[in-house]
Amino acid sequence: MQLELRDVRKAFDDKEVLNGIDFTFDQGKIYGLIGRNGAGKTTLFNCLSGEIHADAGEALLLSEEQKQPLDPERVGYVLSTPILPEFLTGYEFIKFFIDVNKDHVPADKKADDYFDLVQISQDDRHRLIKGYSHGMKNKIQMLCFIISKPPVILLDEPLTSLDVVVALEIKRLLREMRQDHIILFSTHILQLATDLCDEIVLLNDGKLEQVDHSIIGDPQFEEKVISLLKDENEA
Amino acid sequence: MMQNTLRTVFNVKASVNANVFLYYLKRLPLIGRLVHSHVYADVSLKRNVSIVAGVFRAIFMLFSKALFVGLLSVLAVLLIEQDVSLRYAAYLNVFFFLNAIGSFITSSIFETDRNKYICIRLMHMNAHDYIVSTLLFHELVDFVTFLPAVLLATVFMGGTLAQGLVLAIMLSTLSLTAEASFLLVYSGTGVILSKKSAYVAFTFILCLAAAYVPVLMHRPLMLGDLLFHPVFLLLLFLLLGCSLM
Repeated sequence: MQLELRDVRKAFDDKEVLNGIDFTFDQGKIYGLIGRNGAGKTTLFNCLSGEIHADAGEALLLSEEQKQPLDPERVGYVLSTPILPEFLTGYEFIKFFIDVNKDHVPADKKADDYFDLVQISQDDRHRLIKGYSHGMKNKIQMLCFIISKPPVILLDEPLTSLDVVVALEIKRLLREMRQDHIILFSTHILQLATDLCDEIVLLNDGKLEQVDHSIIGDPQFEEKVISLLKDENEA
Repeated sequence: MMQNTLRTVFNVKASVNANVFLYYLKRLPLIGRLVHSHVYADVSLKRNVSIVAGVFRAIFMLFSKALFVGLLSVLAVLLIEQDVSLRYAAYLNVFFFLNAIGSFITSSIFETDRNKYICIRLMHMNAHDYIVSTLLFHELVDFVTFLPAVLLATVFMGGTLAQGLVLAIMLSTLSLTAEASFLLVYSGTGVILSKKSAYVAFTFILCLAAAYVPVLMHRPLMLGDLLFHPVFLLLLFLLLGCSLM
């Protein structure tokens, strides 16, 4: 399975944010999307998830059997600030989510099995989401993907404000999930991108560019990426 | 499928309502201390809270619909029209235009609410199933809660029970027709009319003028012959069928 972007464009008034993006993402990999503030990472994610419409271009989902436009229903999107129903308990939310998406859930899997997977305690399961920490809300969002299994998963800076333990758990989950998904992970933390992602993609001047594998393991990786971003920005 | 959707929608709504109630109950001085911290896990308690809330809501709806019909149609006509022979015609004039044009002011389909967001955006519920099932249920509840008030008001003003029933059916039909019209306009132009303040203000003024000006002039439109004519009733059912499609 592949996600192919063809000449995706988006402008806000006179500002061209996405300037004809052509790129192909492969299943089984976590892509780290890196760009400066305002480069258009969230705009790209919003276009792919159907939150906003691109001005031009298309996103196609290619499988062995068919090629079809990317349906927003098949995209899982974790916003940097998780949005969840505050006045449901975590348990209720996941139980209802399973009810709605039961076609994707094995018959023997119950809500508690999923909570065990992300190590949310019995007491916490029955607390209102309103009282959950940022990390717990992120785990709940991760559970939604684990249950509904969308082919494309977009993560907009999800680990930025998490403590090290939760961040590690979520990284472990993402690594376990990647075989069956195309995962795009936007971040401005280079170390996180190199640590978690299989590929690094720069979003600069409204276009995507894959970073050469040979520099990813390089001790001067950070300097090289920064110089790439600066060069293209100043060109 | 639609039944499952509706059941889940109800369960979500009931849970949210019960949790909101318990959350604020916990914050009350003295009483709040009696509510223990594991209360949200108590399914049977929450079910009971939802049932009680549902009963109160039904009573409130019955009362508010009776107030709407009683004040705006019955009392207004009684105060304005002293000629008893014109009162029923005046009542029909007010009732018809208030509801016929009034239905085209707001749209439940395009209304943004918390439950819609939770079910469609966060839980990925099928949007079509959600909208159709909740709309039909909303119309059914409206019909049932309007019916006693409309029957009473119609008989009180000089009509028959059968005529009251026709008026109540007309109310639901007009509401569904308005929803279908909002959808048609949106699919053709991308415009949500019920969110356009100029449109809403114009329709509101038109609604009030058509309902009350003829009555204030003591020349209500003689709608009785039209509204209860078999051809009109047939058209009403055809309209209902088209709206549901």
